[in-house]
Amino acid sequence: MGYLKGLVWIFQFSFKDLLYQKKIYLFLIINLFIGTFGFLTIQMFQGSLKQDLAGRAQTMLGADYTIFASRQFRPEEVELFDKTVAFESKTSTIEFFAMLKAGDKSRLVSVRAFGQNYPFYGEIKSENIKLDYDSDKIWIDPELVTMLDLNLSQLEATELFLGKFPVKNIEIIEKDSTRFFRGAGLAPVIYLSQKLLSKTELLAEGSTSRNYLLYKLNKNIDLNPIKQNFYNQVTDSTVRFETAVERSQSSGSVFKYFSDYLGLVAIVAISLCFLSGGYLMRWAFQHQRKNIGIYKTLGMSTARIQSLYIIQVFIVSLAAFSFSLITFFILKPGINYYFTTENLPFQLSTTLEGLLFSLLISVVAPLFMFMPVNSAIAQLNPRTLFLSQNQIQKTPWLFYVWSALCLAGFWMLSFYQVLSYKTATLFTFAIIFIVILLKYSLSFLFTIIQRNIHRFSLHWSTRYAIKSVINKKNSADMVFITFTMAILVLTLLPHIKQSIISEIKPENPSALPKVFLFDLQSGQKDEIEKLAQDMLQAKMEFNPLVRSRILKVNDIDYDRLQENEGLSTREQEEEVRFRNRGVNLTYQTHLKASETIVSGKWNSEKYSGEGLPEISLERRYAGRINAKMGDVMLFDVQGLEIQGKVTSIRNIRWTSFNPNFFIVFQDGVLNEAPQNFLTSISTTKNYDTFQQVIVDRFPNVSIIDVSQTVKNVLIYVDQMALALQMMAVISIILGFFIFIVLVNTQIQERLNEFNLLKVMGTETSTIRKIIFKQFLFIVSLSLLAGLSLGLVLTQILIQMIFGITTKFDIQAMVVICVAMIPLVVLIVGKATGFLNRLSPIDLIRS
Amino acid sequence: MIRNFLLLSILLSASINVFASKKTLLILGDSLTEGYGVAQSAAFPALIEEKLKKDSLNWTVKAAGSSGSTTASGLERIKWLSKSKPDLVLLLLGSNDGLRGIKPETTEKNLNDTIAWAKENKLEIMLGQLHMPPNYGKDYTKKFEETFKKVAKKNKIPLVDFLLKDVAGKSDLNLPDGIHPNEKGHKVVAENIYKSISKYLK
Repeated sequence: MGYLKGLVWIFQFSFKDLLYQKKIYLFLIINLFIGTFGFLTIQMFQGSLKQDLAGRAQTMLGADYTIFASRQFRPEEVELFDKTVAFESKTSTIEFFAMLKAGDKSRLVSVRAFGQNYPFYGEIKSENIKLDYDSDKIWIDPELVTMLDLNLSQLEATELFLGKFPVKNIEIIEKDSTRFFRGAGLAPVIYLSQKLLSKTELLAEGSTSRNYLLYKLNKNIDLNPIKQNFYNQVTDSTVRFETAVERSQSSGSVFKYFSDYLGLVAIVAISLCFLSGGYLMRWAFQHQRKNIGIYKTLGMSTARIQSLYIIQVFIVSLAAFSFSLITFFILKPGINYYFTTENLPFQLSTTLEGLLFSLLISVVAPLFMFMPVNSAIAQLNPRTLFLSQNQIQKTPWLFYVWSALCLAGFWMLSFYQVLSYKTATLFTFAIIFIVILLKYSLSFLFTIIQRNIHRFSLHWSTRYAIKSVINKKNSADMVFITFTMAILVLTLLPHIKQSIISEIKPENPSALPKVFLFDLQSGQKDEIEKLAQDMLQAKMEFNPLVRSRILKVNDIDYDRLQENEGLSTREQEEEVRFRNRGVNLTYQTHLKASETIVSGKWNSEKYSGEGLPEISLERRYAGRINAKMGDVMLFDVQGLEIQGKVTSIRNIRWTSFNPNFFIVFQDGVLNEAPQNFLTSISTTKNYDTFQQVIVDRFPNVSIIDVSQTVKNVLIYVDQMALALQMMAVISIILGFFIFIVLVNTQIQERLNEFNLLKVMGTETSTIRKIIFKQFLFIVSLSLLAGLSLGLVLTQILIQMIFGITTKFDIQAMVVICVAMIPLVVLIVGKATGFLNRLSPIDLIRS
Repeated sequence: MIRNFLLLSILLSASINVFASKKTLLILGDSLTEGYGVAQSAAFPALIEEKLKKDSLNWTVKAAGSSGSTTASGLERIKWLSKSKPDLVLLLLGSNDGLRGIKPETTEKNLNDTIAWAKENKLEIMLGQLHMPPNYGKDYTKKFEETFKKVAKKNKIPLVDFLLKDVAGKSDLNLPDGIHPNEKGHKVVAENIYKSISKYLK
């Protein structure tokens, strides 16, 4: 009973105290509100973008996950699969190649026989009708109409056959969400209901088909444990399990870049919240030291004082979160209207998960950051009221425990956001390292300045400003580290955004390939080149393709015998198959626009016959086969052995859509080896006539039209680039608010010092100059450190997480620099307005 | 061009010299000959060589497989590979023509051109019979099969039995892609081919 009474009393006292010091707490609420509003917006933005990516992945598969194999499933197998996995509904597709015959013409087609309710997500439709399981129509890709000279109005008269099935009704595919991002295949696609499959008589013993069982979930669940369980139960390695996300990521690295970026945005937002929350709590404590001393003098127990401030922090952060939520809902329709006008493919939605996570961070982070303050309350002796306000007492071991807990909490939150041990650990360790580095660098710098400042003839106000900062080391440490960390994380997002955009967005979209031609033979090259010149006015670049196998790397056998490996896992088997698959070699004289050397130097012009021929490897491929600079590789080129030495490692921008190769030999080595060529065409003018000539004259040449895929990718990349830009801008704005908070609180902290200067007869304008100089000094140092460390951390994150070429966003750096100085001037100018109102009595009062 | 060839010749001379005392069977083919997905020593050309050794036949087998290649590449490749002076060539091209729906007439012309060049250059050559899976339709698969018989007959060369007999369509003998034989499948393929060609290797 007494305990309850005490609790009620402490709550009442907390509220009374809050109201009594409403100016300070209002200031705290406003600043926390800025942080939580920014965090909430980023969370919702991230959640919406994530939903869009997940939705797009589902439409690409047409389901949440699939189990597939290049053979028919036995009924008992299907029964086992259904028991092993969770689902709401199920359908299937059977995919195989066949010939579609129209009169005396026939074309290779990729048949997709669909089951009932396929696809669960997205749509496949003609102008008039979606895929219909009960229909006897077939849906065909538009290019088949010209390929087979189909007269759609007189289809009855055309003898159109798929196997034994006479096709009487066709629909031309207008939209196929399953092929949004995936490159066009070897043959045009046709869809037909599985009901009609038996009529084709195409699937019999010995047929090659791929069978997909497609599942839809009734709720959003983590599929990884289900997949693991499935693989534990089903050991047949011919049966595969693939989730929608895996399918989308294997179709294009763009999805993966966006997902990784979103994870980083979340970590950056959490970092900013922790930084601002921690800083504000420490600042609030500085303001409460006097009151704590009084409460202690009046006999209030330490536990009660601690409870009092914990309750107040809770109330203040909850109030700030509530205001943020209200503001978010008020602004949401406007933001969504903006999204619509900018053609963003999604709307800002509110997810319960996002809301709860924001609430957790907004309320728990300040409480967590209050922990060292709480211990300082216990340490505070009322006599310290007569000491300098900047001396914070702390218990070292408790502080370190708290720091460790704080980092563990940060790591867990980061992991929750990115679901990657690597990213979360990398980021957390980078922060620890940077904080330590900054702390010691600043101490070192201050010592140097202190020792040498007398050597420079500086105005007394400048000397005073610098010395004043140096003398308040604890405060300077805190501000410098917070400022620098904020600048660092702020510059990260624009840099990474810039790197992703330059990776995925072509500089010249009109030069992107529309069509690929492959299996061109040496004897056909000149004629095709001339045709392209005459008919398309296009110059073709032929990429030689020499098939080979890697025999040895540094005299160690490369391929693997299955029985020697004792394959026990799917991963081991995949690795063996990968090594035994053979590789395509090429040779070229120059680096392509999509390639950059990351190590070593590009191949010399022509092989002279001296030493070993030079080889350039693609970076990730080199990693996968465990090859490095200087390694000697032995290849079997169609029965003949050729050696080469790795002299360079390249990065390739795979999203350039240009033909690129993992292994490039020096010119003059493979030129005479059996080879065929791959080329691309980027022009569409007269292309149809050109294609017809190629098909007639060179029947072995296969043509893959990627124009629709490229178009889809470009639209999507533009939309996503804008989304990334917006997220970076929101983070910068959030970061700027943190600066405002920092500068404001620092000025508040220094009021007594300024008042003292005033009492001693210093002019207000001179005091203002000192304040400007102090902030200019610390902000310049932070800018220098933050921007430089931002460049380094960007480089590390880009290499370790994204594996793409780093492009720094210089514009964002300039904006931060240019905006920061006037921002500081403006805030300092505004905050020092009350210098005129300061009177000596305030000093005595404080 | 000549210089390039000389450079390659130097690079390759070692491997050619090793086989100088033995007769060479050159298998000119696609991914099946390349041993796609299995170690070279587990692919059927190496297994055939083992069989030849076991039967004390003085032959060596050279595999010139190129994944994805069609009959269109046959002529240029045989010109290049003939430089190593094989005693017998087994032409196993055509699977990719079928898989890509190339007209059987085109395949026939390419095979004829390759074989004609081999004969003109005094190379002993055999052709491997190939089949297409039933999903390509009866018309196409029938025409495709007949192509090889016609070519062999026209050029008066031996036609080797279908290498994937008892392997095609069997999941336990193929890789997960359902097209390429696994290690077990290659043993059957080697058996099939050896049965068919051993009489020419005495």
